[in-house]
Amino acid sequence: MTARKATPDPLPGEIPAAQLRVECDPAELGFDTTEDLKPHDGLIGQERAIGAIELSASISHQDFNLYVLGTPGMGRHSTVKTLLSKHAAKRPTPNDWVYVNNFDAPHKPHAMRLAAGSAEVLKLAMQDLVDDLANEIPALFESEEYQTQRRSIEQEFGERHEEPIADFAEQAQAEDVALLRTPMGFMLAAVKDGQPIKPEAYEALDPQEREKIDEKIERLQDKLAAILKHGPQLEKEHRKRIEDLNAGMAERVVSVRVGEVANAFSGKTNILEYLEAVREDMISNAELFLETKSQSSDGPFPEAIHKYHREPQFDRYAVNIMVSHESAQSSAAPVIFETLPTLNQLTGRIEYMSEMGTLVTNFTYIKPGALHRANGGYLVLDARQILTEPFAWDGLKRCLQCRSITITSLADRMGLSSTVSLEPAPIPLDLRVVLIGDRWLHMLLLMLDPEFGELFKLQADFEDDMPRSAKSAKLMAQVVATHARKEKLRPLSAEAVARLLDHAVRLADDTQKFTLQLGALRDVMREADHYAGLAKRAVMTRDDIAKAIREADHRASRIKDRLQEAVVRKTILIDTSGSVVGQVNGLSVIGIGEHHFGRPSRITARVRMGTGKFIDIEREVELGGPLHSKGVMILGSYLSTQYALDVPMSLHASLVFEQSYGGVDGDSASSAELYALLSALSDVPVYQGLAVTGSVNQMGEVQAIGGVNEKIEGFFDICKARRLTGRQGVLIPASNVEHLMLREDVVEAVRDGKFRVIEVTTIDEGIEILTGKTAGRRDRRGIFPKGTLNRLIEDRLRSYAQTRKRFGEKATGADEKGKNG
Amino acid sequence: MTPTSRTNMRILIGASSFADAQAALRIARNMLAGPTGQLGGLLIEDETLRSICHCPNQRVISASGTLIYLPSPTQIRTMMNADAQAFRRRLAEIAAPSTSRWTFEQGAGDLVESSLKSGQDWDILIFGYRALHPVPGKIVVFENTTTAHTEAVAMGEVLADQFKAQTVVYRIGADTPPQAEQGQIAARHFVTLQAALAQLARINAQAVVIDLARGPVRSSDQVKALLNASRCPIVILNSSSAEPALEHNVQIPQPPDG
Repeated sequence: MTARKATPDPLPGEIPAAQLRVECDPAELGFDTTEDLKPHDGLIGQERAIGAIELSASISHQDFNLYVLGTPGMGRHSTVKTLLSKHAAKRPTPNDWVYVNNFDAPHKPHAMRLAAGSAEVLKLAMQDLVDDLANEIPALFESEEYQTQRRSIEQEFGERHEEPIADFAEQAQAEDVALLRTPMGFMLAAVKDGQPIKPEAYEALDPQEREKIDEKIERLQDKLAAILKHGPQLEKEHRKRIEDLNAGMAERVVSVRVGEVANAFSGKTNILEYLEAVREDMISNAELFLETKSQSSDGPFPEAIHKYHREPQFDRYAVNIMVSHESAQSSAAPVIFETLPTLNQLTGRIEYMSEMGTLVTNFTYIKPGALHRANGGYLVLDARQILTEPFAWDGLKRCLQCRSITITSLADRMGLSSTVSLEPAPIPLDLRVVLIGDRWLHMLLLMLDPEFGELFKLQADFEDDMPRSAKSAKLMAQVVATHARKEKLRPLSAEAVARLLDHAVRLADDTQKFTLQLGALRDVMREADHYAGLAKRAVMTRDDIAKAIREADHRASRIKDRLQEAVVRKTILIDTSGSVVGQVNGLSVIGIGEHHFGRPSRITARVRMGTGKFIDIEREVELGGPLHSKGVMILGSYLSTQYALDVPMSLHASLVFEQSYGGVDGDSASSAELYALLSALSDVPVYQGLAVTGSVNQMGEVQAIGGVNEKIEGFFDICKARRLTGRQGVLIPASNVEHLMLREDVVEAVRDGKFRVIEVTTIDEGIEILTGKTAGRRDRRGIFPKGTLNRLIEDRLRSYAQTRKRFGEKATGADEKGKNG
Repeated sequence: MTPTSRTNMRILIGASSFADAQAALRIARNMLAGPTGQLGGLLIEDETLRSICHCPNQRVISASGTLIYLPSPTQIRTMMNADAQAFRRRLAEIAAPSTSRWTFEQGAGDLVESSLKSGQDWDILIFGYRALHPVPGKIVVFENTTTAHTEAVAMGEVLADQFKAQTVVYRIGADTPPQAEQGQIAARHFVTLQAALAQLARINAQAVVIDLARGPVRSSDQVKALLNASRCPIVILNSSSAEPALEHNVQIPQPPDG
């Protein structure tokens, strides 16, 4: 059943227009344009976060790594960069790190710590050393001195090979035995009359002679075998002598050259140890330099200027710089922002080269990562990015825990690599890691990763807003002025700044606060600057700022406009006039990215006698979230404790968001649902020109909700589209009044008496406004006065209980009759 | 004529096994120059060896000093065929870069006799002899005392240059050799060829160069003796000038002048 009834006018709790939008007064800002203001480089309102960053940057103890949390656009990156750079400038320049060959185990390259600026010097010195020796060693080995010594050794060993064979040949000849060559080796044959004895001649010999020949042949065979067996031993001695000669010759020039390099690094123990290893290796591998000389004689350039160190065989003497700093004189620690924190980019990687279809590598293919570059300073990473890169977070934690950088490729970790790889020596790690991310990510890490709290002991929590005052308004103006200068924007007039600060209040959703989302304000300024430029103005005005805000809102309003159109065309049924029983206009907020807008929804309630069951249709079809369900259950509790306390609750009620096809969550519509229920129970119609928002507790108090401005504006737009009657408006919780920063057109309509915003504290207040009927309070006897809304509700509930009782008695009587009969 | 100036040099390699041929092929590869050259291979299966194979208790001593049983004639035949195949392949490999032509023959008989006979039409004949050890030796040139700075010496110098070896000239004859003409090359004088061969047997030679036209080695028996004594490849110039095989007890006459 529906009934329509006019709502009385004026209404109690109406909020005056002045309270709907508390604007900044340009005159109070104290300047004409932002040109008059001094710049303010620091952040405002972020003392807590800045303190945490300062502590993390300056504390020397381990694991005081930092997680910077806050809403995007708060200036977290720039603040972190500024503060860390300031501290980095006071810290000493970290050491250089290089990888050099491990001559004993090439797959385990040595990491070497060098003084800042030394890595490049050592690298060039080693390149020069190789180039020099590649010229000098071949010359040395071509010298007559070397050739003579070598020939002497060869002659000696040649004769040591030949002499026994010659002796053997003479003996064999003397004993009439011939040495024959076969494809398999040598063979001895007895000779008679200058010719080897043939089988038939042999068989014709008497046994004694045959035995004599056999003994002779066998003896000589053994002797020849012994001589030939001794050959490899002689050859080994020969090789050793040649190697000793080569080493001796190479040693002269290598020691001199390496000594020159060593002099340049005197006192640097690790470098001197490395150079000694290089010296020994160069001496024992002098042939490397000889091979290069023989290969490089065809080029167009003289050999003397050939860069031999580029030849791959000299990679073994290369210095692979992992990190190098200019010099210790320009003292400063690094501040590295790694924007692509993959495992390889963080910890470094080992590259491979394809050679004849095989992947090969050596220590010169080790590439540094962000941890190497930031070692001794600060590394700033985006928390979300590092968590989404496979194994990157794990790799970072491992390095921080071990305090060393260990390079492990992803393929190795996953067991996908089947080629020879390296195990570079870990490089000690001493740095501070700063993660920048969301609050929820921080909470998740704390909850799910027990190591996170150990490694990231500090958090810098950026405030979303700051208290609004005359002083803070001036500070904000200074920040605006600084941004305008930095971004080379036109100066802003005081009116423009005031309008921008109004927008900051709106973004804060609180008339007592300014948002600290300076990125959003900067965007408005830039767009306004564009409009000012189009209008050929030298100064940004209030209109430019207003236009920028309006245009941004308009650009994001396509869905909002389509929904409004659907309401106006009655595709979505929303009444803005008349009165209906059990039907209330609720308000919800839809968020699309950064843009939010309000949307009215029709909420209906139906009641009948039952067993005290409430059906929330949204929940039944699983469209209602847990918060919505909680709100509905609070309604049930309110009804059962407010009315007909001495009879069983014999109500069956159903609630629904009409034409809602998506999910519903939150309890901001719970007061609207209760109003619809009370209307249905009392059979008193609700005026449809009013929309309702606010949650309710079991005591019937209306509580604050979020998005109050958007909700009011959403209903205002619908009413405006249909024509403002002056009787339309929105009921909001009284505790939301201080959050009001409504659009100027809404405020104007209220000021003109075309729209209302009404604050309510209790359900009784609200239902009276919506129905125009007194709610009623229990008298001393505990009875609601006659004719009041609450009396009607209680009577209805009692009648349900009595009906139910009678129904029960009738059923029991019928049963007994049946039994007796 | 100097050996290095000839671009159409024809070289024949005679060997009784591929192991022997390899050392000679190494020399031939360095000597062969120009697209008009020709390389020949002659693999001779020694008949004596074939017959001795039937003797009981015979052993072969491998290059590493291991005593192994003598292969059967069938096995020897198989090995010879394998050697022939390897010989051919190596000839082709050496001839390919210079686009030289190459030929190969396989036969049986006496290696020296057969090779000298076949080498009549070739500029150079090289007898192969397997290397017993890897120590590089000298290049030895045999020369008469009556001749000076012959083609053989020039060839020896070329080989010494290619193998970075020392050249030694063995001058044989009763006359006093003309020392001044020898230049920087080391030379030794022997009155008889036997004395020279005895000395040669005790030095480490990488190759021996002789000129059959000029001597002192002229006959096939002398070549055999030289091969046995040197235990290294022998490079023979003017192989067509070889004297017919003589009885070993016939005195070798003095070579003609010039």
